[in-house]
Amino acid sequence: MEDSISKSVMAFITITTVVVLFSFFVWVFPGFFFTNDLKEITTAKPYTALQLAGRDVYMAEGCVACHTQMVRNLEPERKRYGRPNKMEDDVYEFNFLWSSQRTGPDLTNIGLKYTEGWHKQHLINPQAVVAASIMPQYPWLFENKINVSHVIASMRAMKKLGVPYTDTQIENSSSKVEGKTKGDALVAYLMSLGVDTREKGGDLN
Amino acid sequence: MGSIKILSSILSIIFFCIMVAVIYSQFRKNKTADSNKTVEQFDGIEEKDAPVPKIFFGAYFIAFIGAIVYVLLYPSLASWKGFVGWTQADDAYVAKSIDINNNINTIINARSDEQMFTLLQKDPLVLQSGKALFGDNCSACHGQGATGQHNYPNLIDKDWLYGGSPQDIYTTIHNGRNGKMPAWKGGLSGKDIDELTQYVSQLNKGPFKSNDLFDANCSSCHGKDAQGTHGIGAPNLTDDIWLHGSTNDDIKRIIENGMSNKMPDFGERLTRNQMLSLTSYIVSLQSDPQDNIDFMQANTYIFSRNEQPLPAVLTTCVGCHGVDGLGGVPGAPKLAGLKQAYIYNQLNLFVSGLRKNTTMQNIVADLDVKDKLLAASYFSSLDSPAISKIIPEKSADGLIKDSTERLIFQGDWQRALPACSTCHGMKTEGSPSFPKLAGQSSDYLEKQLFDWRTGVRAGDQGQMMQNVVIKLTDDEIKSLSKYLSKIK
Amino acid sequence: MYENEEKLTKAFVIAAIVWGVVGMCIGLMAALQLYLPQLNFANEYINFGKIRPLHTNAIIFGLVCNFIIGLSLYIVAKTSVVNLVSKGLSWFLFWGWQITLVIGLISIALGYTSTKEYAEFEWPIDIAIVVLWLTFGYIFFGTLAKRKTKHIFVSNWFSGGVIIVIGLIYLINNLAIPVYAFKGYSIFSGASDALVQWWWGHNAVGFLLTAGFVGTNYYFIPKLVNRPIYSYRLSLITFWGLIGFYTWAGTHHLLFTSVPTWIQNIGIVMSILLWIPSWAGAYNAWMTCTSNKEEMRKNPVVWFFLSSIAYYALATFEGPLMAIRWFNMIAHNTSWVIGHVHSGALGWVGMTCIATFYYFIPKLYKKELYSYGLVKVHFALAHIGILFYIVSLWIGGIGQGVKSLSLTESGSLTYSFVDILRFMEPYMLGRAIGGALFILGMLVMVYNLIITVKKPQQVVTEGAY
Repeated sequence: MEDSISKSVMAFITITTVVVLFSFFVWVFPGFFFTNDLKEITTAKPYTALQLAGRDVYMAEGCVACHTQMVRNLEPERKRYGRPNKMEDDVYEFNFLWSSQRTGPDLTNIGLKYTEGWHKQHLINPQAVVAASIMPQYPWLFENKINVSHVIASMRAMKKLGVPYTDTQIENSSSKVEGKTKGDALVAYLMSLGVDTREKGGDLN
Repeated sequence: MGSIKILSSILSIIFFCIMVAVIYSQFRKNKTADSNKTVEQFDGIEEKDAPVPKIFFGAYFIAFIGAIVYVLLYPSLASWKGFVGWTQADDAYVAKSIDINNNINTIINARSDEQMFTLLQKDPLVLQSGKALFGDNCSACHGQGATGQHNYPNLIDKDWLYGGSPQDIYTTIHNGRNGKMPAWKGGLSGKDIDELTQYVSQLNKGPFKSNDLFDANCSSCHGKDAQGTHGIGAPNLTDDIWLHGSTNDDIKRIIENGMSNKMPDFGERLTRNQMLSLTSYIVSLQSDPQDNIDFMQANTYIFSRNEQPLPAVLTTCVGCHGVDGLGGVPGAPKLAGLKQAYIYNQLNLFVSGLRKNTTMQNIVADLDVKDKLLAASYFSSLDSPAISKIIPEKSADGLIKDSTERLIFQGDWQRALPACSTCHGMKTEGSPSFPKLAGQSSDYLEKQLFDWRTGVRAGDQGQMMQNVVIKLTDDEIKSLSKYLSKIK
Repeated sequence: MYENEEKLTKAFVIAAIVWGVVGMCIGLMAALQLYLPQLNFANEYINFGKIRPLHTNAIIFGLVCNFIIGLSLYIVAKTSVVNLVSKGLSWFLFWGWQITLVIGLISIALGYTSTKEYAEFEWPIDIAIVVLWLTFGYIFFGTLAKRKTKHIFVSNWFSGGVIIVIGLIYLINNLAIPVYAFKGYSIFSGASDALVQWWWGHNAVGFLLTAGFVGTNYYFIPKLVNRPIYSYRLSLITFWGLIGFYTWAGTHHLLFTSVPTWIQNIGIVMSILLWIPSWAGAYNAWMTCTSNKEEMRKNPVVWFFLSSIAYYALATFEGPLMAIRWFNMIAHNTSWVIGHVHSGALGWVGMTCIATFYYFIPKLYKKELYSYGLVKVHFALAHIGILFYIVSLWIGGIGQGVKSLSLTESGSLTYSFVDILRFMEPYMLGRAIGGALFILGMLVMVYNLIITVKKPQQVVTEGAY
């Protein structure tokens, strides 16, 4: 039976496809049905226009190459990075940004840690603030302005995907981001990380 | 969601059965294998019918059984939690062996605020915890050695915006700070701002002179004497510390645009005990030598000479200073027999940079309080030769004949030069605050004396050594060093 | 009879080598940037955040895919004793692939990326790749359906498996809605997106980087040593094990994260089960490769195959090991993972490619390989390079993991993040040195092969065994 894969192309394609689809239906497919339940219990809020623009900058600049956004529920990890992620936190994260390498620190709760001024200084020249840093410098971010039509398109797309933006919000978004640089947007995004999902008392424990 | 999970569980089981069936079928058929038989040939390549080694079936068997056991015990099927009731939070990595909270809580419950901080500072585990917290939470702004950088204050220089008592530091950590200075552009004319800029830039250069504009607009925050107000974090403008830049352009920009210098609050993120540990650590970094000596004397570590083997942290030290503390590598002085408090103090002076030496500074950056205490204890406990009494030859008027010996034991009152022995001991054998000089390497002593002169070495009380050394000639420095090195 | 197939294969193989060298050089740049951040040049297009995905995509879609597509089509034609079903489509596939890849890489440098690993290309490129992949599937299975032999040769099971699995998972993982121009958002969010991404991520390495090469090895190793495949039965066990268990193993990338625990655990179980068929395949290849003792002693190309099998065994042991929670706690997010990837990528994939190039390119061009002496030089460089690479990251990566989790006796963190960063510096250098040596070996190979191809006649030079 198992060697029918060598006997006919149809048998081969059918058997291989069926075997592979088991994995899909067992642990990938259920994931498509989490979202509605998670939306009801999440404390995460949808990003503002400026923050969403910043998130797009974060993705475009390849920050996931070095920074994770997933704190594991292990004591040393909580002590260093704060509150561990829960599944419902990331319900609006299209695409997910958990990454898989900590060349730089985890950023899940980074909004609770530094000031805007620090982020700007650090993005322009990380080594000036942290001497041992190997992070690249991003001075152009504070010279390039946000593309307003892109932000509106992003919010509309997110709304289609189920993020609860209202049409008024989307219309007003241009005034919120007009004239701001990509660096301002990125800083706004970073300052938002960990804020909505914050729980009271001693998360660095 | 529930029905999806059931479907998922059923499919998992079906899949597992299929895989077992495939392997079992091959196992059964394996008997008919014949490694000489050709199954088929393609493009000149034959496929032979060698059997699958039994070990693979054995491995599969064990693995399948193991998988079944695992799935029964632990949650691996969508709708089955596992017999053991394990959850992910049960996987701990490290078990604490000392609950530092007990240490801290005991101190806090039994004492007043004032004594509390004094006692906390003396607990090495509290300081260790504080140092770790500092590394991840504070150093990105305040720098690895807490010496600050542009816009972020130096924490070990005794200049405090909001007060430097332990209580003040704790409050700063807990609440954060937001130093707000209003923007004067528009409120004052360009001419006025220029005058103020000029005035402020001169404030640290001589005795205080008042200025009407400053008095009217700035003194309410910065004080009538421009010496700052701790309560609101308005800086002292008469000192040499310019956190946001000292050029006229910087000063003018700040007056025009104001300032909102923020430090995040940690009250919600760290526990009270963590903040107490941090505070204690920061206070322990203060570079006043007398503080360090008091600390040392209150907290001596007795290094047991029977302790085998050498603690790991000391292998770096003995690499240059010798296991016997008698030096070895050129430039590394003899440490044997130096007083514990003195060695500990020197290590901290390397940390703060008041004593400059690249090698030592790199090394001490990695040492915590416990390491430094250990190093100080170890070297101070080592044998160093007893010094025989020195009887210098004197002339009729009571002055020592040899000029070098005279400097050491009598000084030179014409130059207001005290004798070395006044501080360093009758035999220059040293004391907790002043090191032993007898028998020390001559090259090392010479370098130290020159370093005191140029400021490469600093940090002693009242700049005593600098005052002494600037009065000595180069020849005297050389001959002193030679003489001292020969004292036995 | 096979003129077109040979021409096509030459094109794919040359493309594979070019992308391989380019991709590895980009990788070396990445490694150096981690040691000397000045090499980011404060530049928007070539800083590490861009270089890393440029490296992975150039290697996976450039080196690996060209190798697998080109050689699997050659093998399916020869072992089916027919020509490929469509000459036109084959060349459309070749040129379409190269052009798509160039545009794709430029788009990543410009910042158009989904950020999902080895699935960074945005939706227009994804559409092109799916069209090309369907073309590949049509040509491959269409040719196989026309075969003159009764049964399907074992190489073709693995290649066929790659086509089906990669096609299916690439499509599902890259489902996105367009936002503007080259930008899209995944239709999945958060944990759901993570699950579908690592269904892709692990099967990318499982099929493109593993099954694809297991397949070509079943053709080229017996050809090289001129001996039969040791055991048909072992190949059956390997194939079923790979399509069965590999597709489940992906959740070991998500241990201790917020995805449901049962999903994590089923991945651990399957990862461990996967070890057995992997070593079964390695055993089969080993027995085949060592059955010609004479060739084994004298021919350094055989040594490359033997080394690649050994590294395959190492990587398929290390992988399941790292899927166990205790090890995973330490390994997750550290450079140990990168070390594991590259012991497989350089040791198994790299050396398999190298051995195949050395054996097959001379045959394709009907020449004798110019110098076996240089092959031995390459052999040494490759091994020393890999050793530098993986030992550096074993020490650096495991150290990184252990130090990140280390607590003092009183429960505070022992090391700050910067302490760990400083610890890793020398190992970042060691890794870069390893990569540089490996590239040097590749350049020796390119030189050797160019001379081989350009030689006017078949000449057996000194240094030939």
